[in-house]
Amino acid sequence: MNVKIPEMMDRPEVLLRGNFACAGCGLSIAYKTAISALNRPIVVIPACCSSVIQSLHPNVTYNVPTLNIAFAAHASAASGIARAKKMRGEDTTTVVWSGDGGTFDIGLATWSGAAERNENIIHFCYDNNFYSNTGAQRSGATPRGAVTTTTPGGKKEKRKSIVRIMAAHDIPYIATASIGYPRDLYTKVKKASLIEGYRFILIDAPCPTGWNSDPALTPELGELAVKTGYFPLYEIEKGKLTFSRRGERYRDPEKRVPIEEYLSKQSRFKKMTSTQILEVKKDIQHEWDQLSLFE
Amino acid sequence: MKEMVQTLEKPQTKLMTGSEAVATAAKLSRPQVIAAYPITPQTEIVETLSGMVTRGELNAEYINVESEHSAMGAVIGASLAGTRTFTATSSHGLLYMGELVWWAGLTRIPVVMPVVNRSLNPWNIWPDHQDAMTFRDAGWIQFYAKNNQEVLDLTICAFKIAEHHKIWMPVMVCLDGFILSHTTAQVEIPSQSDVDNFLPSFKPLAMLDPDDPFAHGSLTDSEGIWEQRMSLIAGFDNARVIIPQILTEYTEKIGRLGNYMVEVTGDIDNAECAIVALGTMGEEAEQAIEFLAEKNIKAVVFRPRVFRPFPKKELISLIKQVPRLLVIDRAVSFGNAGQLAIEIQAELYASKVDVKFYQIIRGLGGKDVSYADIAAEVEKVLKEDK
Repeated sequence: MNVKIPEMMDRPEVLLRGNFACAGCGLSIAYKTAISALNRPIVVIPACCSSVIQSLHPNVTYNVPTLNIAFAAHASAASGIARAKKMRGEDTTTVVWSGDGGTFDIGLATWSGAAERNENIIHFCYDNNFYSNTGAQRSGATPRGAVTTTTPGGKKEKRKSIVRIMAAHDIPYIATASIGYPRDLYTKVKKASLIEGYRFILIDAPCPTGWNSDPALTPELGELAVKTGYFPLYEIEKGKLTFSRRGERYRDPEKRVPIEEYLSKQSRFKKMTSTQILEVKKDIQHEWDQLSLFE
Repeated sequence: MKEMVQTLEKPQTKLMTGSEAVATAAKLSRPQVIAAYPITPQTEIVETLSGMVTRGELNAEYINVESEHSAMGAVIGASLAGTRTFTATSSHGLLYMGELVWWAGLTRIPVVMPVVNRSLNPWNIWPDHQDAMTFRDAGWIQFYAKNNQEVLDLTICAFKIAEHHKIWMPVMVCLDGFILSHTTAQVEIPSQSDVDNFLPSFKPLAMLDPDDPFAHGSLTDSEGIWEQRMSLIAGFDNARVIIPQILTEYTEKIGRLGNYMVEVTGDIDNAECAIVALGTMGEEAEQAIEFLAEKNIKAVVFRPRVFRPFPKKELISLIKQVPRLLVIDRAVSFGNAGQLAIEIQAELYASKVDVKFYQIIRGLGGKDVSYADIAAEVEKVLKEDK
């Protein structure tokens, strides 16, 4: 399945002008691309940047029904919506649209319950590697070495492999995608929308405000994360992993763009020592090795 | 799973626990989405309802959530998606749910939730009102039932009250753990058609709908929040008026209940002392006044069955008629006094009522309070105030 570009050109406008997103906001690209691919979506948003960028009540820049809910209540509220719409016999697509804080950390038990029940929900996690709307604090998704306001010396631990945790739930569809490759993202969302049950898509969404990167480089940073092997692109269907065509070649460490090229474009990594950079390279290889076990 | 009422074509009388009364009332009210997490002493409610759904006796989606927090999250979502919703909890479960209990209160989600009152002590499963009292300010209507019959009747009324378009807010029906939840008593059960005649199907005020998108719970400035809070305060004022109307309608169509916010038992005209207490302690006080009558002491019981909205006017007009007042709380606002006593005192001052006021706290952590104990307290009051 590969969506043609004209189809993408034709998609509805789901994020309207006048929203509060920063210049170069990665999640806005992710939101527009993913939500516009869905049939009659109802979107549940826990505390995250997306609860802020929709503008101030009574204005709203999301052109789809949206339920803003407490941080750890995304997948529970979505479970309620999905079941209620089933009871009412209405054809809708229930969506969780969460940041990494909500998915990796505070809402982990909630989505785990919903995934175990195999609720009919598409769970998107736009991953900008930290708590962005509160001003860049460390999350379980923050990579080793990154400076955040709560890791001023750089984070000492590697980031959590949320997808491998999700995969342990044996849900019908899992994918990773990047705003650097919107067509790949759009295609994966379309594919997910044709499957019933709990589906999860992790989207790499650079945040120039928190990463201290040039807003104009947002798509390029998305691409570089893939090309350096830092953010592998793949799908897991019925427990079997397939690396996506866009990123498969970076399985070979020789073919990867040096990670330094990715790190050097973001001031959050400027305190990293050469030892830490070596550790990050090991982290990258470790994740690829672990993912290969799912093939 | 216990054998439950199979067909409810005709009114009938059964022996049932408070938990079964809740489940039966819920079933008769036709909730469309139920989400719940088990906790002692609420478990029998959710077990019974899940059995009803599994056997096809109740056409509802039952979500076996992984926590109370998710139970309330799910019913908030389901309610806004256009369905009648139900959950139930107790004690620490209510606290764990707490963030979303407030969310439901402040965003006006018309869910019905029985709370089987249980102590908050780290490991004590016995009844007191500390759990529900912790949420008296959360924007929920609160009922406290005195027996299994009232549990059933109020639970059915709760749906109609919650979903009244001039109220539109969540309702807690509180019942004392074990004393009601696990004790079998005779309960009259209305027929399904009588309940259907009383309680129409769910009519959402606003619904998450792709054909008419809107954002619920979005970022709001101070002006907007002010407007919403004033509207919630007005909603409670509406509830003060509408609750007795709905109780009247229930009594006319189904029977028994009575439309009062505060139940009066005893001879108010000759009473030397009035006792105020919530829930089963209120019913125990009814026994106490009979016991006192044998000793030629005249007392009366004022039992608020609604705590939110607080029935100020009703209480004050009653208190004005008695010389002495004994308020018995089954919870404490630590550093001050029992919540019921605090609120009555405030209203006594506001209404300039001159009454000899006595307050005691009893029954915490399930400590037994018998009619004889209550009678002894009344005698003590009369001895102190000769």
